Amino acid sequence: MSDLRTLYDAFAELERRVDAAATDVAPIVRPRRTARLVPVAATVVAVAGLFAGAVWLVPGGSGTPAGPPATAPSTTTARSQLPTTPDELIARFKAVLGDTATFEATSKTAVPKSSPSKGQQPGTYPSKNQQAGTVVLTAEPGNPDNTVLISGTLTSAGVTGGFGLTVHSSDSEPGEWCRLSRTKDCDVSTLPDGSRLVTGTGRHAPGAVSYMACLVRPDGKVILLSVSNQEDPGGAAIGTPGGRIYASQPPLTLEQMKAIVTSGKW
Amino acid sequence: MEFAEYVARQRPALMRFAMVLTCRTWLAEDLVSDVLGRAFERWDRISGMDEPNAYVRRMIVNEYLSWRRMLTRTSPRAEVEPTVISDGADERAERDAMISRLAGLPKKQRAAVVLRYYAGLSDREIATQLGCREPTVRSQIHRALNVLRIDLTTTAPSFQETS
Repeated sequence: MSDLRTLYDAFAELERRVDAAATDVAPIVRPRRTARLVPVAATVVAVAGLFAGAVWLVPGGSGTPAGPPATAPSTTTARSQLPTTPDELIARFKAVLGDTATFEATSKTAVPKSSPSKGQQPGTYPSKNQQAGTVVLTAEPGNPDNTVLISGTLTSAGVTGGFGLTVHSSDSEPGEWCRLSRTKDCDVSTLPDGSRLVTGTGRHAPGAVSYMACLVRPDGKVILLSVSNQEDPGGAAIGTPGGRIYASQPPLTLEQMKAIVTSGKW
Repeated sequence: MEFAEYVARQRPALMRFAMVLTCRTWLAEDLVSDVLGRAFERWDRISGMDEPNAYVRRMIVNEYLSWRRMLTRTSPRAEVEPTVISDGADERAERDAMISRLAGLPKKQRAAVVLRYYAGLSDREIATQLGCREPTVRSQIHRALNVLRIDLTTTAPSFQETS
């Protein structure tokens, strides 16, 4: 007979396998299956008219050590252009972190801004490698409306945890991020420049702690940072265990995270 | 919230959930891609829900339970089937044997086990997701644990009991 620990090991191994597979370039959103039954060429044309919201998963990058030591993050009201590609985001995050922490980005994603009501977006097109009926919309580098996400592990003061960093444009209310992240103690404050700073703490599983800090600038740009003491930076965002626990606490404090998302180096 | 924001943030967790549910990488990708495609079409409504993730996860479960892709697929694809790795490590062999047994469970039993021990849902929540009664959920899990050869008395669960 086995025990539950073996079942959890099996779950963890399955997660590892799918995470490894996720490093392959693959379409990640597909329209309804019925559309896949028509011939490829017709499908591409038909679906392109019906469906404008697919995304492209960029394969995970190699190790990404943080940059050289720098001064601690500082708060400013600068309105710089945020990164539009994962590699740009990695470079900017290094600069912002300075010597606060090092990180390794194991997943990099770029998503074109789209919504059902806004139709086909400029700079998007079907991929050459698509499957029948699949329309892949590729985030166009340089498009300021791209949603860019990196995630992986982050280490500070000898403590390692998971992290996720997203920059995008949004008109969503800051409180939505607390709801989606299932964080408690959601705190929303308004900074002197009109930006809104949202923070929250999540405890989604026994021993798991996740911090979330989100800055919504007056120009609609959002910088969202999640740090956890476990593999999944968002913790058990959909009720999943969230991976193994690295340490008793996340590698950054909420105060450090506030300083990071409000840094003038963005 | 924009659909793109949601996908960027939640797809990895959805993929993990689908993988645990299906034990096959390609099928997990299929399920998540199809479900996100349909979620996109209804995003105005889903994004306004209190628990959009719970709704999308339920879509994945429903898609899995109604899955008939084996009949409609037109081209074979590589599968990441559970395989036993004979490297001498007893724990790894035991784990892989568990994956094989999990993959062999009837779909509804497997869904019940995953929703209980992976997603941490209560009997009531599982019953809602699977569209059955709570006693049926308990029965499905009991039978599944027998097939999985799991003895609940040998170790304390790592997750909180939710019912």
